[in-house]
Amino acid sequence: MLIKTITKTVILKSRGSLTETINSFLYLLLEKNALKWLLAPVKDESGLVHPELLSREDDISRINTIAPLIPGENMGTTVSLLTRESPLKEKLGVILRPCESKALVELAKYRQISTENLYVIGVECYGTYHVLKYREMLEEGSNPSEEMLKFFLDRGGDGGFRSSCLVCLTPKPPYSDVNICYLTSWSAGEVVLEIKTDRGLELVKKLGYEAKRKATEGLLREILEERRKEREKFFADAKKELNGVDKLNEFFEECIGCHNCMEVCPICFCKECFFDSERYPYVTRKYLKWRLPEGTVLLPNSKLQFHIGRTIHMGFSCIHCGLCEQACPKEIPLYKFFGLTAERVQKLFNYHPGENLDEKPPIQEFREEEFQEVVG
Amino acid sequence: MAPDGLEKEKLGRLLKCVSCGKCLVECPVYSATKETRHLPLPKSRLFRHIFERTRGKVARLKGVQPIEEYVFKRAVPTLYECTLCGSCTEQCKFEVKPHELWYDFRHVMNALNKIPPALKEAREAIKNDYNPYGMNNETRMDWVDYLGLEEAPVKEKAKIAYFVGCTESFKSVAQDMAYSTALILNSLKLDWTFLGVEQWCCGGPSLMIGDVGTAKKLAEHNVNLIESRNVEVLVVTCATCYRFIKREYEELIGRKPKFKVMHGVELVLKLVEEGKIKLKQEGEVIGYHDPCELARLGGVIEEPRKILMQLSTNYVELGGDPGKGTCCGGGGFLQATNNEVRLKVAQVRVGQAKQRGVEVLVSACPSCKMSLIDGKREAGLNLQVKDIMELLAEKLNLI
Repeated sequence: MLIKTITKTVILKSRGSLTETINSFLYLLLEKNALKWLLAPVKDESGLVHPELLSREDDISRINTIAPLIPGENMGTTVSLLTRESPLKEKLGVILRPCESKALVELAKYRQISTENLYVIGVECYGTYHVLKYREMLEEGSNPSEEMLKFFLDRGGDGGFRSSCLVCLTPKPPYSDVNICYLTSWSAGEVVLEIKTDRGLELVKKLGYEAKRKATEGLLREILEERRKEREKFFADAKKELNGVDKLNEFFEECIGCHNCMEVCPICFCKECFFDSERYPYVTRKYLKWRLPEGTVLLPNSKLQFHIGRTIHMGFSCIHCGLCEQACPKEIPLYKFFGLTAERVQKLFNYHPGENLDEKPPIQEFREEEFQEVVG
Repeated sequence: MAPDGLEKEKLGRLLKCVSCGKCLVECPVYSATKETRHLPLPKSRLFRHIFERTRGKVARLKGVQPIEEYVFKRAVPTLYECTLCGSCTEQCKFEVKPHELWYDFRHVMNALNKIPPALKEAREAIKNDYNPYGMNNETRMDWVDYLGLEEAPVKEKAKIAYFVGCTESFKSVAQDMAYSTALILNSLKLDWTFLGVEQWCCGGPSLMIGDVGTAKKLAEHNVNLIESRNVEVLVVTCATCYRFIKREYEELIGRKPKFKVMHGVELVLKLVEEGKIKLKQEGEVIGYHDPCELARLGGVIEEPRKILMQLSTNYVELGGDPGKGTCCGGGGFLQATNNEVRLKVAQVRVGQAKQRGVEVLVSACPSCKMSLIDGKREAGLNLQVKDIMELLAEKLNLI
């Protein structure tokens, strides 16, 4: 599918709260039969959001697109579950954050997603909180969405986003049909729909919206500049911290080998991971006898081998969602490692994962002229 | 058609998991084997896969989808190589209650007839013989003769009934527990009775296999039997029987049974506090292993400790908070599915006791006793393993 960029926008005037205003658009999508289904983050009674499939416009009020949280699964993975085996027969709209839309693009390149009848409705995202922190915030009675917005507007709220969010340079999904934008416009009571494709334009026309040309980027650009510096510093520090086998062993010392970082990784889509297969483990009976009270002991190199092996497998396509870090039960700041290795390999190959369906991953393409210093 | 047991209302919890991984940290089976299939999350992911294809998002979008053979192939060694100890639920911060999901998952696997052969055998044994060992239930009381128990009342009416679990009835290593308990009840001249050969398995094992229908049938039979004898207090010494009768029967039969359920240790402590039993402190190093079904899942944590502290000046905890200890490997039919894994788990627990200098390792459940004995044998460690009822009978000079 060829994406033609159109810089047209639709302005949604306030319908009460921000969520209500955004949901008025989603409501019309189902009511006017522009789409048959919506896959969206839906709020549960505890205040967390989970991806749900909706087909009745009456359910739209339960959607919370701005909740700054990715609960457990990158929705790119959810889309893969729905479309991997066969393309969709009915139109499905999926509401995705930037890193979720990027995961979708990478999974589509590996044929884990079929984009037929699939409409991507992107949501602007300034950052998400760690799920445990999000839960604490709810328990303390604060509203994470408001905290995030306040922090965006005047650094007033809670800026303690996940580390991958703090250095994220894509607040808008690069691949989508329509982007829902509110960060810069909501203070004036407006939500802006940015139309990215012909399909997107068709969609909003069906709803009776009028699309006009308008640019809205001002404030974001400054913030991105700030983030770019933070990102450089973050990876420079990470490089120092992780330099050499000894430092890596120290970094992974607490690791219990649960492979949960792999389980949640949208790029780790293999049906069976090599590291979980029967070919991988080796028996260390002697060590087992010595350390009986602790059970089986993982040797440092085994932990390191897994993480290095994993980054070799997924590093090209890592879309920097940082879910690996959120999923680590021992709270190891994993994004430092996976983010750093991915960032460097992606720079080496000048590869931009998640941005464009037509850009082939380095492992799918051979370029004769590259790495002359190695092969020449 | 979607298989039985996958009702959305019941499984909403499955979709609430945020993959934070906290449930993985204390899993006793994984700690012992470091094989990732033994962790909680691979189980819930497979379960979710089945759910999404038969009732969830995939089914709604595309109709009910067949479940691929590889899912079952992978589900068996992850779902059944688990002791159902509940430590994952203890760690979970998001009300997912993982270990209850494993029961639901086993229910689904049973409905699809995909359970391992050893469990099929046990399921049929319970259905036909009313005990998981496939023994003729008429021989349920034969241990009384083997051990030479002189007074073995089976009365029409009694205040207290002793529910001897299948393991205490049929497994020689656990029969001492029933014998000891009977001696204690006799020595106190209480108005008590056995339930005799009419008693059936408590139903816990059926639920573990996922055979909910049989569990219901057993529960109804046992409740009617116990109530017909005007029993006020039902005494049990098996932790599994205890929790299932006390916590699950009400839901299974749809009403509250008319009797109270007490574990042997609760009854003994009550009698100690009433001054009817006198205990004497000695110097052995005693450690107590919490049966998961009794402590973590059953809530009986302080009682055995109070008794043991009155028996020994050297009572030690095995590490961690009371009631939250490592599982012994004896639960969830792990022995039938993969005994090698069970032995690894058991060795870890016995090793922890040895490390703290324990001379007598005490528990309050026949499965734990068997596991701990097998574990110490496998590890070549020298320490005594006893059930608390046996220890009491010894200390009261009844044996």
